[in-house]
Amino acid sequence: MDRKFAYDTMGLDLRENLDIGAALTSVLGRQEAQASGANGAILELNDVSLSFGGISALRNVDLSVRRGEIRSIIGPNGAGKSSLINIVSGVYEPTNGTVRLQGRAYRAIAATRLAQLRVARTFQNLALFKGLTVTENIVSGLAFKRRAAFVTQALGLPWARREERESRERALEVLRFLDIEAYADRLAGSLPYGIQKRIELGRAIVAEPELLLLDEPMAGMTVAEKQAMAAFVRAVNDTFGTTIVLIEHDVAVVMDLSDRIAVLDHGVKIADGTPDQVRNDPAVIDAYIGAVHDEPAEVA
Amino acid sequence: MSISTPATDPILSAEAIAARKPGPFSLAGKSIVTPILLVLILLAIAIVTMMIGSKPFNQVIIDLFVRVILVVGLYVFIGNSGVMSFGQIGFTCLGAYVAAWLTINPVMKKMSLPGLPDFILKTKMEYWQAAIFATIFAAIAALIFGRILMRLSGIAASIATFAMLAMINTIYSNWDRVTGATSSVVGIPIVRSIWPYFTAAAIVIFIAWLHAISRAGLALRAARDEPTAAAASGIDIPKQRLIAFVISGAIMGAGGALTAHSIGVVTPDNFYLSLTFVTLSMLVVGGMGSLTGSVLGVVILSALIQGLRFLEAGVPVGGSMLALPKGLQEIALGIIMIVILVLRPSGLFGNRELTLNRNRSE
Ligand SMILES: Nc1ncnc2c1ncn2[C@@H]1O[C@H](COP(=O)(O)OP(=O)(O)OP(=O)(O)O)[C@@H](O)[C@H]1O
Ligand SMILES: [Mg+2]
Repeated sequence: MDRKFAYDTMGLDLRENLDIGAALTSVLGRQEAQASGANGAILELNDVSLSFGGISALRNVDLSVRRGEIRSIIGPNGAGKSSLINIVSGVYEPTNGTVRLQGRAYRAIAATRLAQLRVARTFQNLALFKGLTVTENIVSGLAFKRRAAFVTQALGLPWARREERESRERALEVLRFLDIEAYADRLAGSLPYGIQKRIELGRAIVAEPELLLLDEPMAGMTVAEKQAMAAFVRAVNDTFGTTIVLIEHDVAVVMDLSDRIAVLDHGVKIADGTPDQVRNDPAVIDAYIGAVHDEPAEVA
Repeated sequence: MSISTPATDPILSAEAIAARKPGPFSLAGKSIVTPILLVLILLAIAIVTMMIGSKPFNQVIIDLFVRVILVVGLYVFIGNSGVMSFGQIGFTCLGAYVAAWLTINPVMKKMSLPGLPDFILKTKMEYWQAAIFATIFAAIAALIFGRILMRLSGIAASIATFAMLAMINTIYSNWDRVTGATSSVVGIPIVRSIWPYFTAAAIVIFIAWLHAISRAGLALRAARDEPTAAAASGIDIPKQRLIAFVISGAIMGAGGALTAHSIGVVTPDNFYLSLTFVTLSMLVVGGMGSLTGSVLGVVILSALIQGLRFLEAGVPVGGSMLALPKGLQEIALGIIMIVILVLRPSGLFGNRELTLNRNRSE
């Protein structure tokens, strides 16, 4: 990665947290999932269309996401951004087209298989496990790889207990990384919105996915919270080499974070390219001026 | 990956667990103090009962312990999964009949239930041995039904569980030579000591707690709160539901066996709508999401029922007997339950648990 660390400019120093993040990587004994040089696509959508009854949410969308990049998707409300993530993660089945993820092509995939393909996601409308504690929420992100059965765990067999402890330790490291350690034992549902958004990010990154799908991680946040979240997103990308697909309305944040940006409008991809290319694209400017928007943002 | 674990037994010492920070059993944000306190409350009730030494009261407390078993059984599935099941009492029915089949005197059995296989006709077990078989039998039945039912969600799942209950009831009400159909099966040895019931209730409370804090319980509660997010984390929701359904079924079966031994007689209708209603009420009033709620819901509602029965029977007031009209007990109970639920829609305990430190969040 050739991007320079720029956390200081965001009014935050995350380097301390990053050390922990790095330690986390070594604890796991995993190599950075970084395809050096050869920029293969980790995710590709080919001619994907989706309609709900008469409403067409996506029309013939092509999208390719390279390993290691931050790929943003922007567009007015109802443009089909969430639908796109929902197709990739197996919540919706496209009416037409295929998805190619980690070399595997599919039209529909069982949502539960996603984690095994090393893909994690967050949700536009918070989907935390409200009745569980923060730590439990994060630990749940490891559900797909935890093996100990109920009986072995109930009997307190050593390897079940070790697994339990390792999960907890990993969760704790994630909490430190995201600066929410203080809330570890609180019920997730009782915490402020901004914190809940961070917990959700934590649950998604705890298993160190190779692809992270973030559906409006900064929506409804204060400026300071947004900056912090943007810094975390960048830190995840930098430290772990995680590929990120980011949906976000705040165009300034998107321009700052993204390697490439795709613009959707009424289910059609109207622009795709680097932040500079997209910024000056007349079609994009039209779409944004012509649309009612909940968070009006300057495009140029 | 070479972190070693301390070799102490986690189940034995509560203190050690509370002290060790990332202890394996503090994971669920639930503490081992909860089942210990609940069992101590039941123990206190048992000891008081012994001291009073009244036979009718003894029977009341036996009923209470049996209800605790049944309601905790409901909690294991309903509380953790959030899926309302109207069918668990079906497993109680299965368990009760297994206990009857295995403990009734062979001579009597040959006459009343001639359709039983030979090896069962000849068997005469101790009540506790029969209870073990009843538990296993109910668990297997739950596994078979669960494999089909656990694919369903929401109202469809609830209706299907109800259909299961109706099915079991219909079979047992008609299978004359094996279940005696709707007539009472008598001759089941009655166990009058409260201790077996107390012990079973205590074991069941610990099993429910172990399940709740286990990976399976955690995953199930996650799926209850946000199914889509749970699936995205790789949680196999039908499988986690099935695990809880089988554990619940086993507990309900054990409760059925003990019911049989507490009254000595079984009929299919003992284990049908009214028992389903009473136990579900206790669960809901206590708080579906809480083990504490399910245990104390039974204790509180049973106390209320007893109190109302007492009033119904009549209290001497200044020379004359003051009695509630017959049937008012049910009506009063209904009103009290509605009031509790209006004031506390998620039950008396919501999803909180009884612990010693009061600083738990919300
Ligand atoms: N489950 C659904 N059933 C019916 N219509 C749906 C469903 N999900 C999305 N849609 C429709 O599809 C279109 C695209 O929705 P989508 O949620 O993907 O938009 P979005 O770009 O994420 O918008 P926002 O910025 O508001 O989140 C909208 O017209 C929406 O009403
Ligand atoms: Mg959306």
